[in-house]
Amino acid sequence: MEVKKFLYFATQADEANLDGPDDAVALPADNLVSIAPTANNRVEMVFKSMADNAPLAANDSVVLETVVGDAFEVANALVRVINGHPHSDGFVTIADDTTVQDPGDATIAAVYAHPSITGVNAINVTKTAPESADAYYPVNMHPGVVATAQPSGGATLEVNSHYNFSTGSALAYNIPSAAAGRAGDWISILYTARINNAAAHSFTTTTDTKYRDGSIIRVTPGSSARTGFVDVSTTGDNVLTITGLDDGDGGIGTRLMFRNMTGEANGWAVECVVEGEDDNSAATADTLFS
Amino acid sequence: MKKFFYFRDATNEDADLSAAVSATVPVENITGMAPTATTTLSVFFKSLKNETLNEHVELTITLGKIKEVMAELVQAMNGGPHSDGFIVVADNVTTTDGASSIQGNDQTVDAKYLSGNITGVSLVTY
Repeated sequence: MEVKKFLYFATQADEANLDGPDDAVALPADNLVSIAPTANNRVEMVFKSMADNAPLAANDSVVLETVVGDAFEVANALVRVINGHPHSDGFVTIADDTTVQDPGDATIAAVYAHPSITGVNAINVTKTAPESADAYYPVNMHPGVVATAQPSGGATLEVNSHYNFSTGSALAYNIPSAAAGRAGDWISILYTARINNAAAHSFTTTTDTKYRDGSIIRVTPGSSARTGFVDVSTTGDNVLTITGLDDGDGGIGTRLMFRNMTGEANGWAVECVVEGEDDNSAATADTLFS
Repeated sequence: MKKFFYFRDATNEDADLSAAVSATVPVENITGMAPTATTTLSVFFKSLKNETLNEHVELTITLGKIKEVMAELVQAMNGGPHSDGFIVVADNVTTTDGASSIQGNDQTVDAKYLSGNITGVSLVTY
């Protein structure tokens, strides 16, 4: 059985201060990507991200302090250590700056895997915020997907479905729980018929308390009083409403694009583009987040 | 042999209802371990749903034993070649559930921890 090796690093002198990933970490040797100098007395070990699973997630790294001029020897020693001791338990201390035990404050010796390693300069373990997921999950329509039949009012829309809406009377729909799905789930809606005058179509995140902040409704300008309109969702906005208006909102071609950005609560982002009806001259009235 | 770590954050089996409560994770999917407090060790593993963030469990440990618990977890991954591969790292359950279940209903059982330095667990799964 192949031994799964973990490389241990600690950068705090006092064990009482080991309270974050930048203080101590054990990373799989299998995830080591490179070893390279960053100064004449520093060698950086780069690892695949511990916390981030995104395709282009930034790697983690540990920067070791070394004897000046010993970058080659340190790289050589690290590889030797990683491949050595095939019958060990797999836990390998590469560099441990800790010299004060906690509790008790007893003095202990720092441990380094090679005499040319003299300390840990930095442990750089990043955890990308969910917001970074935006780049991986574009908000868009889904042409080429066979449309799902428009459900009755009060229904919860299905994830990963495209709808063509053709009912002009007032309707209310629910958006499913973001946490019950997964990041990347989507729903898109294209209006193939206009919304009747004064009829409201609403989309409510019934489980989640809001759409992701920064979700967008945008109404392109028309003529006369129809000068264009934008509403950007803020905290507490969990309902998107489009209200039909003669010469105003809810025209054919209006579209909504929902995307679950995080797979966690309140993860649904939405972009809604509202087309004008008839003369396209009436100002937006009751199309908004609330 | 494929080894798996088991974690459960419920004191009563009747609350063992989702991946936010218990999970069995292949050790080969563990991406790292790091403290998040002086008595909390986070064990990260690949996302259960292949989302952009990996998941982790937070083990409550004895003060001053971060390195020791990390070493014990690695030893468990690599030890016991004749085991069945199922390694209980932390199971908070002390009350069973289900009259027809193997352990019976409302029986008192001991919580189980891989190490004497582990005293509890919570799961952070998405």
